[in-house]
Amino acid sequence: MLPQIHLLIFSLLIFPGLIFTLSLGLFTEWYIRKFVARLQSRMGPSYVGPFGILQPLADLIKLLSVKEEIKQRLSSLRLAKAFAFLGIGAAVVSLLLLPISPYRLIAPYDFLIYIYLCCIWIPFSLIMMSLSMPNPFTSIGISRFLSIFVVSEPIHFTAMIIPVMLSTHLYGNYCEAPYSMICASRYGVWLWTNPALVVPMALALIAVLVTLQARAMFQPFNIPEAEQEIIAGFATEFSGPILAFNNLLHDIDIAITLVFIVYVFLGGPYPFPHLSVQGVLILIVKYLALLTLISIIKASFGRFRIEQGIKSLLKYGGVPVGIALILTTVLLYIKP
Amino acid sequence: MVMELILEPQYLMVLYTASMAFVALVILILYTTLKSRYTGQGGEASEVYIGGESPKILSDVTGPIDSLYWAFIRNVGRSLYRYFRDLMHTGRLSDWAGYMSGWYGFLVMLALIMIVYLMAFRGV
Repeated sequence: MLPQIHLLIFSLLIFPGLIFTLSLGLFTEWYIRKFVARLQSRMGPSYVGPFGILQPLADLIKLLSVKEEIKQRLSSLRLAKAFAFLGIGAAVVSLLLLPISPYRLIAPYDFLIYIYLCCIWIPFSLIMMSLSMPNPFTSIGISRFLSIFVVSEPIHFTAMIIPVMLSTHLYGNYCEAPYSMICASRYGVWLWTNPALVVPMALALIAVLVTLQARAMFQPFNIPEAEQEIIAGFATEFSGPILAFNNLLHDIDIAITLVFIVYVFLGGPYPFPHLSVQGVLILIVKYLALLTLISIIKASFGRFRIEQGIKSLLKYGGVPVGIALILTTVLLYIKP
Repeated sequence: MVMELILEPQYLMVLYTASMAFVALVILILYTTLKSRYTGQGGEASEVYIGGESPKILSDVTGPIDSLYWAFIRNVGRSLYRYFRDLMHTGRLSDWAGYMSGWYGFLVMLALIMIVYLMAFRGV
């Protein structure tokens, strides 16, 4: 029996669980929509709430409660919903690996659990949701998604493992568990103070931001849902509640990936402690800085073709992370 | 109040999977409880949306198998052919002889290495 089960349930359902993650995902969607719209001289969400901040929530409620589900003869709505729930569940519980959670479940090598939850369950849920509602455009969207996925995900978790490796080897005496996300979250930011480690950390950060753009299917990697080209790609058959859950999973995926990057690369609330006003403010500033960066990239690019997308991923994600990994290995060999 | 639990990785994996299923169950319960009674499944689109095409195109949505061969020939085979053609057919006999004897030498070396390897490990 786990101790303090009520705190675990609070962490799973309220903070940083379901309610917080849902709110953060919707805020992230609003921020990206508004910021990109302003960059492109459009209004963006404006009507619901101050500055239109409640527009994603209004869209969610509309899709859940007003719009009907369109069921064609080959689709299985229950299966699609089941995978949507599991995908959102995987995203929500992954935050218990970080010090943001009051109930932290950690283990040696729990980096692998991050991969299991965020790099496998979430994309797998999206794929299964889409395959539950088959369509020729869906097939093309999924094949494109998989083509991007097999390149971007290895780059993503290789980039994420670099601060995990370095913090374990250099600050292992302070770590509760080796190769854990919590160790990288606490000591990863110190790696920037070592001149020898700045280059691999910077290269890994570049790679992880490039793969985030691909994971989020934002321009220039919005190939799997290429509008006007393959209708809506993998999301062609989604409607009503299933479209709502798909959008929600997409928003939450971006939000939690950003939270992990903020913690592992930028130290979360560092240099302030967690339960302080300054700590919360610095956490928000770091999160918004990264969000602004991906929004600028989204607004600045058009859509790549699939081979251009893969080449760009390898060039701007794969090459930096490869160099970073070689440098990290050499550094750890010199100073084990 | 903060609780930090350090567990074995395999136990943690099971725990996270169970937590994931628990959250999914909570979302299912919330959705089932709160979903509107006035919406349902639309009946106007029971056929697959294929952009106005005839349904028979669904049978060959993946394209013929031969395309894989021709895609390889066009993308890789052609450039390989040009590379080897330019390497061998320079118009000078010595280039051709050098190329052929180079490959022959490579095969002889490979055979010798294999023979030595097999003799060395024959009794092992």
